[in-house]
Amino acid sequence: MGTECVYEELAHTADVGMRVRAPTPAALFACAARSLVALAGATPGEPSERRQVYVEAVDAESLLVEWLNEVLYLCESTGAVVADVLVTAWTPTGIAAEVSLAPPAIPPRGAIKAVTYHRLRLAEEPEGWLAEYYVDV
Amino acid sequence: MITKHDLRPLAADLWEIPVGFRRDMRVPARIYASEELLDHALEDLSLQQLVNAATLPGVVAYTLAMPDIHQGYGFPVGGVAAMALPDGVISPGAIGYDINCGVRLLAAELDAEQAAPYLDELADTLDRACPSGTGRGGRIRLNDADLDEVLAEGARWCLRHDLATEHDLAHTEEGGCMAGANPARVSPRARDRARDQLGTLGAGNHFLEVDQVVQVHDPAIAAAYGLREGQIVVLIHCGSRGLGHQICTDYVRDFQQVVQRYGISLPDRELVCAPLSAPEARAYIEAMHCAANFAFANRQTLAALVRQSFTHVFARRGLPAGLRQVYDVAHNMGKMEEHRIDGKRMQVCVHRKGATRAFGPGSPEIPADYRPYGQPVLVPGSMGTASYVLAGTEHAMAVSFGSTCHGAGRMLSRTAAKRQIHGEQLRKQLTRQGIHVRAGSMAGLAEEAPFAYKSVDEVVAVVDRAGLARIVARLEPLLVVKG
Repeated sequence: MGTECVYEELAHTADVGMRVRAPTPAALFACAARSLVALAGATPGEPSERRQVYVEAVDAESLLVEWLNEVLYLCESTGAVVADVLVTAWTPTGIAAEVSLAPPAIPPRGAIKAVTYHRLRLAEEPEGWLAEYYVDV
Repeated sequence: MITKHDLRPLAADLWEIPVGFRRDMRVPARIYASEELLDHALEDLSLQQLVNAATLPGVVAYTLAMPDIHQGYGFPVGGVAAMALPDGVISPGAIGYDINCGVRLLAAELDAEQAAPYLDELADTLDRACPSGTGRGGRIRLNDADLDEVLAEGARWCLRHDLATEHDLAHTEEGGCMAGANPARVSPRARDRARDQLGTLGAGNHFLEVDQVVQVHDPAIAAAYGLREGQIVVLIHCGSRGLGHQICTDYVRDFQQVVQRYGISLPDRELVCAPLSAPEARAYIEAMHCAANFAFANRQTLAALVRQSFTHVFARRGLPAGLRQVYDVAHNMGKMEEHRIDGKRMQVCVHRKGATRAFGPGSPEIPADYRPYGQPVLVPGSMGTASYVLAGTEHAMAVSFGSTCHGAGRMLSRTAAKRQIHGEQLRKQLTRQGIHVRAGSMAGLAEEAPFAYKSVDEVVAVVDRAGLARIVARLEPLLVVKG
């Protein structure tokens, strides 16, 4: 995804968050999934599996939380981490994506319990799309 | 932003944000804190979250912040709120993602002097026996039928599998089993996350510590709890693992629509809730009780693994290896309780998120041998400092819905902690202090550096002075196993 996907860590007293930027909503959601891997301190190895993922929610902000929680569950239940994401369809209330999973080259340093609604932001800005989310660790 | 000017002092170490501070507040917000701890609380969104909680339908008396309060999600960590039955609400976010995260204390027959030569071996043995960190499952793989039993029975399941004693159950909050747990309310993915996690510590701030009782403050209560100076004790801090996280995630998602259905408007989406009389609330409570039971069984299984480790290291050397359970407390729970509010007995749902039940002497919920003294309250500090055993008080029953603090409380973000110290550097520092450390992740260790936390001494001093609990004994770490 190269320069299309930029993220940085956000501090929280007990937990941690991410600010994510990308040119389109679909790219933003893909970038957010990758940022979750970075947040856990993991690095993917060689992709070994692809999963089709569909998520629906009541609004775009909820969709971001539900999407990231779906990714989190996928990683925890398979022991893999996200290597790449191809978003095939995106609306404010639904996303379809192909998620490439890989065994971790560097394993997560800590568990992420959940992605939360705390100070959740999803916005279109002049230079592209921005999301901010926090996780409970 | 809330400032000190918005607070009025009610008594020493007690502050109030009056109901008029914000138009949507239904009750005041009260904070137990010294000046220093209050300054820390004002640095993040803690008090704003406490005010937000004071807007929830059915909230009674006041929302409360314990001195270890810090910013959480929706509801602050170190927060307490009681909602009237039947029309008040229950909020999964006000209980937390790690449902029934809690602490267990085991008291050894051994003294620290006897154990000292073998602590390094004990650290390795405990680290092998008690899986911690991410991706490390336990030795027990639960099939569907087993999992249903664990979710319904909690620590009682462990009794049937030789992982517990009757004494353990009698000395666990709720006897180690929340009644009314219904596994049918737990989603398939929550079940998936649980299958290999029984008997695992997890990561983050969860740990297993071998401590020494360094000071007994209240000899009569310490004797009743079976504690003496110089004694080795074991603290286990963990919760319901992926199962609890997923249950909270599932219901926070579902309740986004529930609040619309019931016309509840909220200042923060993470506070989503349902009226206690509604079927949606019943579903969450039955699932939440399953998570609580999983957590009780998890800490019980870990206790069994710790006992095996002590036997392995000490019994073969002819040293006493027994570990008697002192108590096990929950500090992330919603409980249906009766309290006196404005002179009337009321049924309420007490939300404690990063707060410990602290029932006073005479309470029927306390085991008979502790009843004259009050419920044991276990307050872990940050590794490298101290932990405390406290006792619940009658005053806590009168003013804090029988609640007190739960730990030191974070002060510094994980990002900031990592910037200040490397994990390996911290491990060496702790080793120089005589603390044996085993950690799955050095970065994870750095995030939990003692300087990232408030002073646990100051936190317990406040609750002791305020009468929310009485200090019984101070513990200092000799050995820490972290994820």
